[in-house]
Amino acid sequence: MKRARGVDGLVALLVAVVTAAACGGGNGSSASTPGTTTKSLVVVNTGGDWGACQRKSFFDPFTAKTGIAIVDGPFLTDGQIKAMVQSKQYNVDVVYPSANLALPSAGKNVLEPIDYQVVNKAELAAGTYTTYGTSIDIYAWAMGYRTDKFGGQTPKTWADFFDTKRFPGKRAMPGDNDVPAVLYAALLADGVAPDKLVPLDVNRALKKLSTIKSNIVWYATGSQGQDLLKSGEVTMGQEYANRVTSLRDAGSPVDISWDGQVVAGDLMGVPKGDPNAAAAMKFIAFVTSKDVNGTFSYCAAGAPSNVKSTPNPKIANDLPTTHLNQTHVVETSEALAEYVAAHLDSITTSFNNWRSG
Amino acid sequence: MAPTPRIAGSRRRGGSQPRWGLLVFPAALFMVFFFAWPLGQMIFRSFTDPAMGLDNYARFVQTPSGVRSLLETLAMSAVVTLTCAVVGYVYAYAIRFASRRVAALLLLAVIFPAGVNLLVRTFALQVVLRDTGIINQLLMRLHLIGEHLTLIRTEFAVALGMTCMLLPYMVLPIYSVMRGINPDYVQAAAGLGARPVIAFARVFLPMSLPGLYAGSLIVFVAGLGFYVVPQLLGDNGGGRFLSQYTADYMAQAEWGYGSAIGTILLLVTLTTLAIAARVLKVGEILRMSFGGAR
Repeated sequence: MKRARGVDGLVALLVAVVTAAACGGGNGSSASTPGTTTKSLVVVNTGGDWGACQRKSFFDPFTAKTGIAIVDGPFLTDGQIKAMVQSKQYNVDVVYPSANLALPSAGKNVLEPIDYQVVNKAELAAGTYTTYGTSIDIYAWAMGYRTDKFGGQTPKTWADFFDTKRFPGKRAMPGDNDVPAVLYAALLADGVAPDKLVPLDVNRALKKLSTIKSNIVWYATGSQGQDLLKSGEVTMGQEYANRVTSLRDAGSPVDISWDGQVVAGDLMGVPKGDPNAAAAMKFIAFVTSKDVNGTFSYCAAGAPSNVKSTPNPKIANDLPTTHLNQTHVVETSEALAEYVAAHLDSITTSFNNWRSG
Repeated sequence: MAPTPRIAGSRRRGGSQPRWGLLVFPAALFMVFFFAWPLGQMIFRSFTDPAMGLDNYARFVQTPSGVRSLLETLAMSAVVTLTCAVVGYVYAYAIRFASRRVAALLLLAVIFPAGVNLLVRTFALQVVLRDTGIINQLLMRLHLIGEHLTLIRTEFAVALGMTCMLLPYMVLPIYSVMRGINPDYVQAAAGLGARPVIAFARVFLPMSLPGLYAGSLIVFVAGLGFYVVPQLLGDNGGGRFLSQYTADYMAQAEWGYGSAIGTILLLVTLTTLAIAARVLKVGEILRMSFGGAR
């Protein structure tokens, strides 16, 4: 029976190995330790085309100018940023706080106030900077739709999005990513004017969403939403605008409607007490400066937050900032963000209870 | 959590080999620092953050979406345990009585996919199951169906996906126990006049049950913590897993509430194990499944 026992041992070993393989699978985050004298800064880089473009237009030119190297850091959620500050383990010097965290109320124990002596906020678009965060680019949630499913009809507004008779098919919405954006879309569809969103009527939004609830496919990440539209799983979606235009440019039968877009800035912030805060402020000032900020649009569809900078004329029509003459919501504006931050808990809970009901 | 093997060992063996017990110390130390300590922190936090008391637990009980997630998690894990048990038992049985070459192939077929990243396999299932996926396209092209079948974003898809991921943990312990069963017993039963079904049910099955129990325990407990599969294959409405529900609150840094949910899940898991330990003699089963049957 010696051989048999050997096989049993092998099986046991395999069970152990397989178990370890299945239970592992964390996202090996890997920020290097910054020195106390600032020779290098760790900046969040979310990778992909977007990250490569950031390196090319922001990171490397900053290093060339100042000699401070930029190290790619992992994306941190608001929770992770708070944990980092509490434990004083500053693994990342420049982070992306959510608009809610970058507010005076929420940010004061977590983030360094942005030094607007260094950062020139006079040139920044309204509603895209706060006490604790400065947008380096502007993105938008807009409506993407299939051009091959509605017999030549073109949906234009959020009201069309909720009209499954004229525009049949499923709808992708970022319910696992940005619940407030979902609610704004529903309220706009229900006839609420963008400047009347506060105080947010969550029940009214949920009532409107109920009318198409069985058609909604909830998604978490931008790439999932993009994939749903690309594969035709949904005929319309509330999507990151740049992901819709890039699909269209790659030949997919999709297009975008800018009416009622939810505009937001990618806010950069600095963890409270970060030893490299001064250099981090310099970095944010550099990235948002007039001459640098627009260069990003030459390799990615991100609109500059600096209104004095010049975006790539070739993609100007695909940038959210070009369509601000139409109905839109500025998600990062202090009025909206302050309200959402104060009520985020009840908003999330109401939404979850409705969604699971 | 810290095991005390020296005492247990010396009592049973009359203190003849106490020094071997010391070997467990590095592992025990590791477990204390990297498992017991943070786990204790989590439990402590659930009662103290943001304020002392049972607020976090009261909040969970009073939130319908949270309770529904817990029930969904338990129900789905139970269903998956059952499907894994049925499929896994038959599969292990096939391996046990196949020729050596076929058995090796079948074993590889179980183990090899388990080495592929879970995320990758879940995305693959998404491509297979979705409305515009392989199954629906094929059936529609063959004109067997006019409208696509709803496969993805259903509880069926979650059950299927989890069964795929967890099957190896059912097959391997069952197979391991089955290997130790002498086929002569079954033959003896047949020789005494038992029909094959009776010989299997009265002789083989009872001897193989420890493997089935061990596999079921592993699958059920592992299923409780699933996140990726329900996130990518489920409807994410009514049937959200507890881990998905918790993620919302962890992203907002509500450590206390998140810890309370974690503690509740831990309690459920421990209760399951405690019941199993009483009814099934877990130690015996695990020893038989992984230590090799004698």
